[in-house]
Amino acid sequence: MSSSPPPSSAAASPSCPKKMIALRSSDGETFEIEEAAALQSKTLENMIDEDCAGTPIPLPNVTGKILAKVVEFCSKHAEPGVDDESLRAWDAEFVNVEQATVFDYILAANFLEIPTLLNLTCNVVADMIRGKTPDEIRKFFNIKSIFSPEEEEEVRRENHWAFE
Amino acid sequence: MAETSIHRKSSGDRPNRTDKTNPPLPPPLSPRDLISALPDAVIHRIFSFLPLQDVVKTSVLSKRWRPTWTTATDLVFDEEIVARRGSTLDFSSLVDSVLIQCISPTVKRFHVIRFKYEKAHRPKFDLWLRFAEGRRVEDLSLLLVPTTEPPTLYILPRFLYCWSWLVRLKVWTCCFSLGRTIRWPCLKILVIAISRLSDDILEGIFRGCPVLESLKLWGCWGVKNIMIDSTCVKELVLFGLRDSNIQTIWAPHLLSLRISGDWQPHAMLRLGDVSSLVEAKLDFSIRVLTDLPCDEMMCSHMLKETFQKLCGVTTITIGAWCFQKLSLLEMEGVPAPLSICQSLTLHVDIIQWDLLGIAYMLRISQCLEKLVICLTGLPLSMYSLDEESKESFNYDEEDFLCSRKGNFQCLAKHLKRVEITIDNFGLERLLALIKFLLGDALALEKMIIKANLNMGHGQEHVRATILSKLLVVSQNMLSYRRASRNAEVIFSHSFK
Repeated sequence: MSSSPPPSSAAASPSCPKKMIALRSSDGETFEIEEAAALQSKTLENMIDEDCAGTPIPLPNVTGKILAKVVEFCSKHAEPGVDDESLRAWDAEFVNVEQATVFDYILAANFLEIPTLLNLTCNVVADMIRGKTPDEIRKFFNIKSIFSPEEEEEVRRENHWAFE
Repeated sequence: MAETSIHRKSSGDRPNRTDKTNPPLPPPLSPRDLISALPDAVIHRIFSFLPLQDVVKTSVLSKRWRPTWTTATDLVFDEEIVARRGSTLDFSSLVDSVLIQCISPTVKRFHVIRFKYEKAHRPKFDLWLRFAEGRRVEDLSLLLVPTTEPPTLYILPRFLYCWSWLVRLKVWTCCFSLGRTIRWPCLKILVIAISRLSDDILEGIFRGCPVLESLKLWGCWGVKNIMIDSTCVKELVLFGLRDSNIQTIWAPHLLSLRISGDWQPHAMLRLGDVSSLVEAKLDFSIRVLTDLPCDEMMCSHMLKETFQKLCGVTTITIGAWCFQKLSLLEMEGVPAPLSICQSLTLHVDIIQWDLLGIAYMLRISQCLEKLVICLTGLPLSMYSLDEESKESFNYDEEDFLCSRKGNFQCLAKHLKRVEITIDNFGLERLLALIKFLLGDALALEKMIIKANLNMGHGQEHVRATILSKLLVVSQNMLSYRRASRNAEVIFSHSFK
C-alpha cells in the first residue's frame, strides 16, 4: 500500500465495483483502502458519508508507518470467508511487535474508532500488566513514581486486599 | 529503583544557552513511558480485560495512576479474589469498600460472581443495585450460588424492572416477582439460572423486552409453556436440571434452539411451531427411573417426534444420549422423514450399534455437506436390549454399510467434508465407516481425523503401544480407495 496515483473517479465500472477511499497520513503519504475495510473505522465512516470528490482524507494524528498497518488490519478483517481460528492467529501475529508500536496502534485505533483493533491492542497491554507487582509494572513501562514512602504506604492501605 | 528519573539533562559540553526570559519547560515524561500518556478512556478499556485486583493495584504506580481506577467503567467482583486470601476479608466488605471509592459517572459492566447467597444478604444486594442504577449499568450479572437446599432465592428489587438502559442481564439464584411490570426496552441478552419462574413471568419478560435476541434458561422450574411470537428472539437455550418441566415450545421465528441437560421423564417436551429454525442442538438426556419398556418407548417416541419437527433445519448437533435413542429407531426400522440438513454433528458413544445411528442419519440427510463425528470413550450405561434384539445385531460393519449403500444419496453429490474426533479407543470402530465414505463419497473434498489421546499415568510403554496402533490404523486408512480424486485425508493426533 505505497503512494498511489491520484484516486480515480468515483464512478465504478461494472467489472471493478469496489470503491476505494484515499487516506493521507500526517507525514504526507497517501494510502488507498477499500470502502468495506474503511467502514470498520467509525471516524472514517462518518467522513466518507460527507466526502464527495474523493480527495484524500487527511489523518493528522497517524503517521504513514502506522497507517499502513492499520489499513492492512482493516482490509484483513473485511475479507470474506476467513475462519475464526486463522483470523485469531493472524491477529496474534499482527500485535507481535515492540511495545512502542502497540501503543501507536492503540492511539490510532482510538482516534479512528476501530473497536476490533482497539480491543485487540488493549488486551495485549492488559496481558503485560496482569499478575505483575507494581514494581514490575513500573519497570516494564518506565513509569516514574514520585510517591514518598508514606504516601505509597497510604495508598496501599486504602485497598490492602489488592496488594496481599 | 523505580524512583530514578530517566529523562535527559542537557549535556555539560554545550555552552550555556539558557534563555533567561522564558521559564524552563517542565521535564518531559520519561521518553518511553507511553502507557501513562494514554487517555483515561483507553486505560479504562485496558482495565476491562483485567481482574479487579490488578486494576486496583495500579493506584500505587504513580500520582497519575492513583485516581484512574476509581473512574473505571467495569466492576467485576469475583469470589476468587477473596478465596485466594483465606479469610482476611469477606466478599461483602470488599464490594462495599470498592463501591465507596468508585466515582465513575457511568459503569458499563457490574458483575458479582459466585457469591454464596444467604437471606441476610438481601439488603446488601438491594444497596449495590441502587449503586448500579445510579451509574446506569448496561451489563449486569448476579451469579449467586445457593447455600441451602431448596435454594434461597434473591428477590430482585422492584426498581430493577424499569432500567431502560439494560442490555445484558444474567441472574442465578434470583427470582422475579409476579405482578411487576418488566420494562427493559434495550435488553438483548437474558440468562436465568436456578430460578423459579412461571408461564406468566416469562410472558411478562417477552412483553417487556421488545428487542430481546437471546434467552437461556438453565435449571429453572415452574415454566410449562414457552411461547415466543417476537421476531427478534433468535436464540433459545434450555438446560434441564432438578424439576425442569417444560412441556411445549412454540417459537415460529426462532433461529437457533438448544436443549441440554437432564430432564424429567414426565416432562415430555413437545416442539410446536419452530418453522424458522436454522440451527438445532439436542444434547439432553431423560432420566428414566424404571426399566419398564413403556417408559423407554415414551422417550423414543418423544425424541422421534421432536426430531421430525427438525427436518427443515440445516445445522443439527446431536448429543450422545439422543444419538443412542435415534440408533434404536433405525433398529426398529422406523421410517424417518427426510431432512434438509447440511451440517450434522454427532456425539457418539462407542457401543455396538453406533453405526446404525450414523446410517440412519446418512439415510435421511440427503443434502448433507458436512459431517462431524465425535466419538467419546465413556460408554453410557448400556441400553438394555432383550436377547433377541441383541442377536439380530451381531453384524459385520462393512457388510452392513454396503447393504445400505443405495440409501445414502448424500454421498453421490453433497458430502464434501468429514471430521472425526476420537479418543483412545475409537479409531478401529470407525474404520469401516471411513473406508465406506472414502470409497463412495464422490464429492468428498476433505476428511480430517483427530485423535485426542489420553495418556493417563503417562507410562511410556502404554504410550508406545497406542502410538503404534495409531500408526498401523492410519496407514491402512490412507491406503483405502477413494471415490473422489480430490479428497484430502488429514490425520492428526495430540496427547493430553
